[in-house]
Amino acid sequence: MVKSKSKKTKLTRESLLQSPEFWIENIKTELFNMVQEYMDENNLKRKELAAELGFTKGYISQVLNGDSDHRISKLVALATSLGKAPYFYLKDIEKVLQADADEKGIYIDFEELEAKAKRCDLIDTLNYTKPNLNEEKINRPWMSAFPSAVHEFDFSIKELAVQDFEELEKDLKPNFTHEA
Amino acid sequence: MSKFALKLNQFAKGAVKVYNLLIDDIDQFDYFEDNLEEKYNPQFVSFAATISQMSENKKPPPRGKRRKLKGIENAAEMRSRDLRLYYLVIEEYGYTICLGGLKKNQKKDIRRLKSLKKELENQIKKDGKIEIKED
Repeated sequence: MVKSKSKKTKLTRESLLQSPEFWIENIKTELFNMVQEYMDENNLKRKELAAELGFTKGYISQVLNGDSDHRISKLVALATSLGKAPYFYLKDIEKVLQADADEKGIYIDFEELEAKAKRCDLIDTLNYTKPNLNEEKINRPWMSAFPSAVHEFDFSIKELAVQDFEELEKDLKPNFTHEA
Repeated sequence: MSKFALKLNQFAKGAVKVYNLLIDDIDQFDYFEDNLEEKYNPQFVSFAATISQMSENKKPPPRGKRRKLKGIENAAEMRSRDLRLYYLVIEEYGYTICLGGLKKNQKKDIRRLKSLKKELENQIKKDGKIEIKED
């Protein structure tokens, strides 16, 4: 039995996800990483970065220390100065809580999402269905570009087509839907 | 002599484990929360958010939110304006939150952390492991 005093309402994971502070911390971390990555890539110190972007060293320090509340205009100016478009995405908190309860994770990796969406588009474009090795012939749009190769290495190409499909399927299946 | 155990921190749901240290069955993270004045609640919530991020290990929290402690190996503190949360990185287990306190008591708390670390290492040496408790 784990003892703990309970004098006041305790913070729960659910109440954490509904608190402004949680989302503020996430935004601060995003900003920190954006600035830090730029500094690392360009081998810049805080002072040099501030001079390059036209911000004060103090402001850059605040971002890197994660101890500032940001004006939207300043935040956007910082992002665009670093060559980034700051998207703003809103999701129903109920869905976030449900995802967390289902152990699906609440952090969204937009780059990963974009890559998966591209793969989905590719599948749609190629009108992929799982190839069958027992079929006499299989047809994929890309095969028409290499008719002789398809003829000569028919079976290998079938195998590749199956592998290709299975790889894509494996990548896409876990939790992915088009809804972000 | 104190008996140590670990319990998973409820805000850490990612792949990286973050534990609370239990000393004689008293959860030190809970104890810290329970004894905080209401005015510090937003800062405590920020710590919980940082723990969640650490556990996800996607991207590190800003440097100003965490600082390695000089003079104690594998020890660090989470920082907010008025509060500090001290943790160790224990091999084979992960992040272990050992105690929290006010910034003004930092020196005393770091001394306490140092002594806890020593006791904890002695227990691991003696028992070969630390018990992990469920809720």
